[in-house]
Amino acid sequence: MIVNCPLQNNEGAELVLDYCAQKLDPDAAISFERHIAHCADCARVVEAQRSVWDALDCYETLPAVSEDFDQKLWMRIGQAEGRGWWRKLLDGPALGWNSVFSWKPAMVTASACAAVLAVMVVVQQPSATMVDKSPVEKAMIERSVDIDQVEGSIEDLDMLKQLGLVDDQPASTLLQPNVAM
Amino acid sequence: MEAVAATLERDAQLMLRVREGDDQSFALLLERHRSPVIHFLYRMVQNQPIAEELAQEAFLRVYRSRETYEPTAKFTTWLFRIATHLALNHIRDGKNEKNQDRIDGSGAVVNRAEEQSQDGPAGARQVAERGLNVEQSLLRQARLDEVRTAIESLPDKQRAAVMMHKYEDLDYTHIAGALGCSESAIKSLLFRAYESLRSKLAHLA
Repeated sequence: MIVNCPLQNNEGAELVLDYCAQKLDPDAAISFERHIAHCADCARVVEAQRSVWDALDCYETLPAVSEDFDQKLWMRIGQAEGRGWWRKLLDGPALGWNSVFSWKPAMVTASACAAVLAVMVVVQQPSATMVDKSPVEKAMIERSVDIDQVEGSIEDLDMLKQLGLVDDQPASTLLQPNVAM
Repeated sequence: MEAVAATLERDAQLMLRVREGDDQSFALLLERHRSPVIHFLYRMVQNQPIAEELAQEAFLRVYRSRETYEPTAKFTTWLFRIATHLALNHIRDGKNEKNQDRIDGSGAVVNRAEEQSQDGPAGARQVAERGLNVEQSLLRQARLDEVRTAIESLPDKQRAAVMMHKYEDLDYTHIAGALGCSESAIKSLLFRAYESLRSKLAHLA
């Protein structure tokens, strides 16, 4: 056994681990290499540690982090802090929209809103006959409706007169203004 | 105060800004540490959705502690202490037992073995193994399974220490801080952990 072998004292573990992890400074590494050249125990431990270190390297491949990780986290923070959705919108420009806002649900919501709006426009659209008329024509249409009503009333009165239920005065004169008054 | 702040590490400075209400600084911290924390937790619990859930909880705890934050320790140490605590609690609660079924996000019961073949190490391995022939691929898979089994057989604290030492490149001081041990205890813990791995993986040399 080599005198002053690091494995025999408290520094040995750190030295072996740091050497195999290539964390030793160059001078310490050279000094330790000189030692293991003559110390079978240390050489064996170093070799075994190196093989473990290399074996652990194959454990490096990891799945990618979920794209919505940040979004979920900000939502949880919002819930924990009792913040409303409006606070997220206010903070959006500062935090970066991607971190607080996902376009995917927004696109779906926007599409749904557009569809509902289109249905409402179609349902509430006024008849084409009135839309195409000018204001003067619309007034004429409204007036013609009034004249029809008057004519209908006159015919009703004439009929009543023929039945003797009203005075003998012609029905048409009832609608004329009384000049004498 | 300004002189003190100037000597603080960048993460601590960002965290102090978060304490003042600057969420943009928290977004930067998240950007810097998201992947290391998730990868550490993934190696600890061997399940990506659970690793991400635990990582969210860790970052949420960091955010909620912002008002009482004092830069007495390195930010990374503090963050990994929270993550380690969550991972060890999860393992202790028996949520990570082998072949344990779990309910996934869609409500379907997923067997752990099936899950690993989809989004776990095997799924990742498929990507890494492109270009290898069938024999090389099987050998690599067998080797990886042995490494994973050896790591899973370590006591929880030893496993966490190896993960931080090997993959997160944390030094003994920070690993000690994260695990709540003294530096000398961590060196001893790590040496025992690697000693155990050396005996279990000796045939791979």
